[in-house]
Amino acid sequence: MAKQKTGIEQLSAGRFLKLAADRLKFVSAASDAPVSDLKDHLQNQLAEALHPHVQFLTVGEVIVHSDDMKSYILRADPQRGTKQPAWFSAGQYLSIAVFIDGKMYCRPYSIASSPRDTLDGFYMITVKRVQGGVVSGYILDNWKVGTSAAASAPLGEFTYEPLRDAKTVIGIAGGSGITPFRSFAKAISEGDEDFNLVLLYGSRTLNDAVFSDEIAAMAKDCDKIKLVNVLSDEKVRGKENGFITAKLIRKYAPKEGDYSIFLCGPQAMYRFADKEIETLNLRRKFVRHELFGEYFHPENDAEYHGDAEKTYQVTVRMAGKTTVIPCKGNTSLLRAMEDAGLNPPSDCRSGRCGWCHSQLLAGEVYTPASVDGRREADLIYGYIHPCCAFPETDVTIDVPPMPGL
Amino acid sequence: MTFARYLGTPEGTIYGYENSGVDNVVMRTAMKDLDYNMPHIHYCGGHYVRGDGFPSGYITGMMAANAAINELRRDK
Repeated sequence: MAKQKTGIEQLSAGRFLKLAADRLKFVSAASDAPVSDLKDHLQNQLAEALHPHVQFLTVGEVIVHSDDMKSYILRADPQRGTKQPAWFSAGQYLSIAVFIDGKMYCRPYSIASSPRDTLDGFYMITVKRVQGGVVSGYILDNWKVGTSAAASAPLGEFTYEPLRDAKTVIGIAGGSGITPFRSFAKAISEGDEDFNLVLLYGSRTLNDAVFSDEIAAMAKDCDKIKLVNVLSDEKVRGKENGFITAKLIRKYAPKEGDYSIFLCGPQAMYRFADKEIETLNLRRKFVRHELFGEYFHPENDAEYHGDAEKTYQVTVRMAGKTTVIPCKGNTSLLRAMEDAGLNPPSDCRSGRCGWCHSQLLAGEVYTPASVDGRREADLIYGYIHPCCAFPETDVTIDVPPMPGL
Repeated sequence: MTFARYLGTPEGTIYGYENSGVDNVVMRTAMKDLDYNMPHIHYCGGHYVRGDGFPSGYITGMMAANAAINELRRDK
């Protein structure tokens, strides 16, 4: 019987050497046409529908609350390629981009409409005038029915998560911070969210409490929603008077079992409410904040070592281009780049989302601890968030360009 | 869907080009300088010569990093 060849003995050097030529022939003969278009794939369509790079919208309606506060119904603009606004979770925000004198400015606005409203083709945002603000004033004075707008996909983590959050949420809203809670309340009444919302709504007077009547009407029809107006400058029968204190929270919190606290409002409200909430000894996961918002006046912090009034030189490297721009010590690097017309990327403007994540190549910046959302790797490799970084010396930064716009 | 969003691959597939017949790991590796001939660009991941899988990702990542470091040292 002939000995059977096994393993390496079967290999023929001739055949092996031919493989390269065969492969070359095989590759050369293959078609260079794409196998398929990404748009034909269901998962890619879904990804694009839920997480579009940019949403083109048009102002469909303007609701005037006062000269300094208006709500805008933003409808999808199919002519520019957005067929339907992307679905979202109640509590999320849109980063709205506006162009003023050819410069792009982005600002986050909570979505006040409900997720279900996107099926009817619209979002609603509410804009309040910020003293000294660039964008809020521009929108309030210029946007009318038909104005074109551009927005990000829905973003943010100020959402209800049943695995983490308690069945009852005490919502603490101050001023225009009511907007995400209007979305929560509407989503609960429409059956898309399932938790008990006790809303402590702080305002100066009842007249200032935008959406109060609407939310009260939702509460009437849905026993999962409760609205408590807390008026600081006015005494009205049946309404709470004063500020939102730990005592008041305890009064409306469930007598037994856990509860979560969700806060959205101005920075002064966070500072006051956080001290009160501390005394309630809740677990950390049960206290959740909406974005802090832009940080101003770093010079008031002991940790800041720059000169607030000095103009520093910032060398910005972006997509292979180098630009030198001025930046005052009390101005964030992001604002300086926007003012210089560099169109830097930004979404949350509060050190959280990571969209403006940039590398500090030279110099020193100050990032306030309360808005420092960086990871350990960022600190090791010198990354910063320009939205909450203030120059303490001349600096050089490497910034990614804004995609999608 | 999440992979489709972040990777932009068809159906969000995380796998690279299929290993088939003459187009296999050995031949891809043997012919890599012919296939990947752009100077200063080093490749890694599931679409590179070793095909898909975590070990291939790690190993080709290490290979790319070493190649880039060697190139930088040479250029100094």
